[in-house]
Amino acid sequence: MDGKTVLLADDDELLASLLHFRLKKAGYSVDHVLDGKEVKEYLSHTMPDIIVSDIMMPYFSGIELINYVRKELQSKIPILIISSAGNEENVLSAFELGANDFISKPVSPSELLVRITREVNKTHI
Amino acid sequence: MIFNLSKYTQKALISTPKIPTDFLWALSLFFVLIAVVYFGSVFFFRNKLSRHDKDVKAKRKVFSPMICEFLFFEEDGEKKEKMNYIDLKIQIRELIKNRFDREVLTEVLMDLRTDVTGKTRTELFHIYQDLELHKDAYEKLNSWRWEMISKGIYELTQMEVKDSYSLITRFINDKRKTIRKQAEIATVSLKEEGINYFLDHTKYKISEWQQIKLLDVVRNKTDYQPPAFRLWLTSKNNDVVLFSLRLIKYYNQNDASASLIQLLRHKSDAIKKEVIFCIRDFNVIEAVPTLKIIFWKCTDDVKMFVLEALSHLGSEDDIGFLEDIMTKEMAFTVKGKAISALNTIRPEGMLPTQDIVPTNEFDNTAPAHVVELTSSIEQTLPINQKEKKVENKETLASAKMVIKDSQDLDNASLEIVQNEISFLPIVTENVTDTGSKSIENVTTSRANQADLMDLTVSFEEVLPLSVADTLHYNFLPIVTAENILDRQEIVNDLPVCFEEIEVVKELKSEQEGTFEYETNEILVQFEELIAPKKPILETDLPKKHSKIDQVFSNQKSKFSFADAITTSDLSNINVVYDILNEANDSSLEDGPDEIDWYNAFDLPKLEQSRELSREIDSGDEMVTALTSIPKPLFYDDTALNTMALLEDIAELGDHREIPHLKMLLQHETNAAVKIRINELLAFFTITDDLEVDFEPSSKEERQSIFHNIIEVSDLESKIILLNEIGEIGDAQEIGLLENLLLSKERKLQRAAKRALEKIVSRQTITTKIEVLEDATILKEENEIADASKNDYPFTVDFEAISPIETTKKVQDHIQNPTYGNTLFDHLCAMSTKIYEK
Repeated sequence: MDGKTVLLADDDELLASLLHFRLKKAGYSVDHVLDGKEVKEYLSHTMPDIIVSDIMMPYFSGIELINYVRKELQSKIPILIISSAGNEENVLSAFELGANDFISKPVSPSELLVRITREVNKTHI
Repeated sequence: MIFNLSKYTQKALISTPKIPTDFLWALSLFFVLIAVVYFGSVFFFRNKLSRHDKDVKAKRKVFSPMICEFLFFEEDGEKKEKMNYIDLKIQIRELIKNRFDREVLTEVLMDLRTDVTGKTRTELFHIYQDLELHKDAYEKLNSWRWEMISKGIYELTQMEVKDSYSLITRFINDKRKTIRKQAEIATVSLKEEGINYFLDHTKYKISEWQQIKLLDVVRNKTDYQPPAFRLWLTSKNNDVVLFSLRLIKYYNQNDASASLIQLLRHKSDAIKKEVIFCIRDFNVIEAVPTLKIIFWKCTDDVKMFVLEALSHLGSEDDIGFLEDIMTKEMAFTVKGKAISALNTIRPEGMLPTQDIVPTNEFDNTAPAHVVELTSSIEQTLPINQKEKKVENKETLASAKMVIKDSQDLDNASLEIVQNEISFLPIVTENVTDTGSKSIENVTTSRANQADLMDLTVSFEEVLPLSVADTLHYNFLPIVTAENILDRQEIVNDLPVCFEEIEVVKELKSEQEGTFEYETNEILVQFEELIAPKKPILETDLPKKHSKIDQVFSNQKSKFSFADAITTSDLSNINVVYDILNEANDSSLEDGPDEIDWYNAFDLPKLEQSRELSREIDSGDEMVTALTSIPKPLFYDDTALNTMALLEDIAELGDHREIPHLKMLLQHETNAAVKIRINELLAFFTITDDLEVDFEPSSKEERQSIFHNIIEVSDLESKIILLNEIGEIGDAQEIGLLENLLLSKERKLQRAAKRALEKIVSRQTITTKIEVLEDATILKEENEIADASKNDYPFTVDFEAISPIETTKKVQDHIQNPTYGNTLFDHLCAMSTKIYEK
């Protein structure tokens, strides 16, 4: 997956660093942002190959991010949502707005990698 | 003046306290110092904490890539990667020599544990033990601080350090609740057999929340093989039994039926409920008899569960039991559940009963709008169909009338109005036989209506003239002799109203004004009499009316409307009524609205007047007939009040009223009232004599006045009362006291015994005095007799009589004014004493 950029939006630095390390090790170029503002700012100048976002974030939730990407940016880039267990309503909302996939916490880094790879591959096909 | 003012002003002012200025300065400085220390310490600790947070954050940033390297290290990786891994391991070992670093690293690992799963998590546990961070947790277990021990147990549990199992289990029965609960979860988490150990060893109560957490731990275990939890149903710890039951239910271990049935008899409601759940879920039908046995001794909550289980397991055999509950059970909810269970076993076995309007309250007649609709339809029908419909309607109407008459002829005869009888058909005998049989069916069953429609009924229209008016209860029927004599007994009960009326001298021919009123069994002849033009004399009345005298001669009992006439009586007789047109309507109108029937039909007087009339003129029967008619008695207000008073006295009074009655008799002028007073006097005199016979033969036979009070009093009151009885009681109380001696209460026995002893001793003294008194009187009599023998003048030497020895009771009576002779005095004295005590 050389050269594929993953935008990782999560306010949990520890988990983000772990995933960052894992994705980087898998060959992805990972950009990590901590909140919704940074996501917007990032997306204003760069468009990644896939967005991996936590649903619960400060300033700008994962749902709003999907809405922003799909409606305002009119982009079809794959979006993968990380949500905590028992948050099915938000997951459904996310899917309705155009999320491609979701993974629930606690996250298995290997599983996340597989899902990201699958989504990226879909886009390229 | 000015001097005075200044004087008052000086007095009015409050002088300020003299406080040294140095002291005030010192106090101010003290408070300033305190403030400085306070704010300084706040600042210091805040800075310290924030610095610590910064350090932790910095360390986390250092450790997190290292941890990631460790976590995602692959054995088959590149050489460079392996070299990097070894370097990191050396670095980290150097770092964790510092306690703070170890703590931060532990924190990082603990946090990551919650975020990651799968292989990464397993690796995380491995790193934790590999870096020997668990040894810090072991050290915490040896701490004296409960929070440190708890933290240590938590770390070891979260990092799944299985070696720590034996170290943690010793805290299972720790006195400190937090440590104990942490240890319980750790024990169950760390090893599969941990639950067994826990259930075997725990001595303390397991809270509901703890049970949920433990169940959650067990439930989330992968590849977990639960033990047979029935083994712990015999535990001495009720909470262990309860938790085991829950686990049995969760894991569907339905091999403990016998134990479950046995546990139905457990004292604990919580266990009972859980057992009932298991029994219901596992369909343990053998438990049904036990469920029924325990039902009546259960609380309402448990009863609800029992009924719930019975609704699942029960059969037709249990319906009787459920019906029994419905009748005997007091709790509304339980009753409702029983009905619900009954309906579950036998669907629709019980129908709704609440607020259901009885069927007979629904009127068969159609509402007004429906009637209007049918009438509009009728208009469109052809003529022949209309006729048929009219016939049917009339048949039904007549049938209805007959039913009404047969049900309540008395009321019908009194309440009948012109509208009701104006259409009254006269049903011929043949038709009514058939009709009367099918009448009830007609009203209840629509199916039979068709048959009734086919009935042929002949109508003879009765003119709605004055028949209804004359049937009013105020009218005066004169019953003719022929029929009345045949059925005297029945006629004796007839409600006949006598009024002062004037009747015609001449009678018209019967053919002109007679109405034949023929129903099923009643033949009524109305003989119209022409209203008189002038008042007639008593002698003008026809002879045949004198026969009424014979009718009344049999009248012995009091007359009343209630038993005046019965349906059967009327239905079986043929009465010919002579309708007497009222000569003077005002005679009726001027009469009283309410007639004193009892007085009006004072039958003894009636007989008297009859005898009188016989004496006057035995030949003139008309006069006799008139004298037989009782005249209403009218009293003036005073006499009426006196009569009312006399009636009250007659009802409530006794021989004590005799003086009052005699006084009334002296002042009374009204003859009737006087007679009544005399009657009462005679009555009370006789009654008094009779009552004397029923007096108890001895004083002992009378019941003690304290009997009822003792019955309703508590023990303390009883004892106080018994002390009082001892003081003031007499022979009447002996029976009561003897009964109380048999009481189970020893205190009561003793008090009764004391009272009895006092009364008995007093009685003995009183008897002696009485004997002495008798002897004195005898002596006195003898002296008088001697004096008379010696022809001495009648003189009594009072001095010669020895003074009577007074008893203690008598002395008390004299000395203590609270003692009295009456029952009221006794009770007052007693209540005062009780109040004082």
